[in-house]
Amino acid sequence: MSLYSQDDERAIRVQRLVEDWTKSGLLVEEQRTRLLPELKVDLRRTNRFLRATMFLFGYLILSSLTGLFAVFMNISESAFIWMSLFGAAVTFAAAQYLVKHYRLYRFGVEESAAIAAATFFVIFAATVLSSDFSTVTAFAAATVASYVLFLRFGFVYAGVAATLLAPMAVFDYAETDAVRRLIAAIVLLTIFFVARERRQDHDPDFPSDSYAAIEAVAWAALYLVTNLKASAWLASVDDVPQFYWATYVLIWILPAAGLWFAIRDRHRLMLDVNIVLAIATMLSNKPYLGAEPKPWDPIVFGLMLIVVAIGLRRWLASGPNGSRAGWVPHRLLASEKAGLAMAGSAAALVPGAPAAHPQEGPAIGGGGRSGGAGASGTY
Amino acid sequence: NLYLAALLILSAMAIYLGVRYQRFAFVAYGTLYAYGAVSIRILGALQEPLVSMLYFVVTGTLVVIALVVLARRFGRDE
Repeated sequence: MSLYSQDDERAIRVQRLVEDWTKSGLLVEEQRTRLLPELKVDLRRTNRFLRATMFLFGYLILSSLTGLFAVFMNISESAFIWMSLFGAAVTFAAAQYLVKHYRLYRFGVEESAAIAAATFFVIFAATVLSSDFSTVTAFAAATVASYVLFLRFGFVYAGVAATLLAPMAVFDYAETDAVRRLIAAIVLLTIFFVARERRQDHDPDFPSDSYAAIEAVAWAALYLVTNLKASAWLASVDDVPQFYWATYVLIWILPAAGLWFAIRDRHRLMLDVNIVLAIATMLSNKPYLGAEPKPWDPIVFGLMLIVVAIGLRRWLASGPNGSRAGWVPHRLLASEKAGLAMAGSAAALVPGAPAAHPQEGPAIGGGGRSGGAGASGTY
Repeated sequence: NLYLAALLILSAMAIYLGVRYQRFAFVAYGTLYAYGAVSIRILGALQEPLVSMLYFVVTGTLVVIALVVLARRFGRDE
């Protein structure tokens, strides 16, 4: 099904590992020099910045070409529907041509053609059966299109998009929020177990890494639809106490179960995701219980995380050979250190603690800025 | 006009230095900002949707060709 051979995909992944291991000091330069020629592939690749720029311009060109065609041909509204299907077929063929003829791999241009094909297909599907734009059909078509792109071109982001779009079709279809969330959870749980099975079939070779990403995203999305406080923006919650408290229990169970899966399978992405979900659960606890947030909550929470991190690190380091069951307390790879640094920088964007209640100045004197009858409470 | 001139000079510098020191984020920044700035001025003068779309097709193609040539000569794989 895929346009790229499994050998090429594996070679590219091993190349990345060799570069990462060399930067991390696990391989010396001579070993790297000896390994890389055996991993050469006959594919044209580029760096992520040029790739992103070429994707943007590629998409711009295709959208403008479509608009030009529609204006030149004086397309009516009904003809536009079939033009969308034609556009989907042409751009999909163009993407395949670019890969087969020019041997492009994540080059941006063929990706823009593939994404444009998915966009046109969604427009066609959403408008062909009814005069109004059907969002249910649009989401379903987007899911199918994304999955096809994942299978044909190996775009992991397309697989992730398919995972996130599949439950969205349900959200637009069902009437009651509890029913919507239940059906979405079933869809996501199904995707999780199918991806998990496919990952285990191929572990540790390609395409296990792609299915690992889908597995982790499906689990995170399952948590999101379960956590009523974190996903209040998604849909207004029904006033059903049993459902409310069942989700409260589940938001504690899901991260714990996810961590168990992750540790058992040595699934790094799943481990990272479930650590974040566990933090989200602790942050959702007070809103769920209706307790008032206090200004010192972030401080206490941060201190608790520091204590847990230090305790876990010391426990791992105290094991035989400084590890426990192969788990070590320090980062081995340069890529992981870079990821951690980025996460640390992102922490600067976290909003501050809830503001304290402003204290009014005394009735007599009216307060003052520096000394006098009393200063204001906000600072 | 002074602002546009300054932006184009800085974009050209970003592209040149990005290629020279193999920091392709700056090539991308320079290309996008320069293209955006020039396009806003030109589209403001064009007014016609048909001509505007033709502009995007032609200039977009030229930019993609230039980036492909750049990628083949200088772009390292990541």
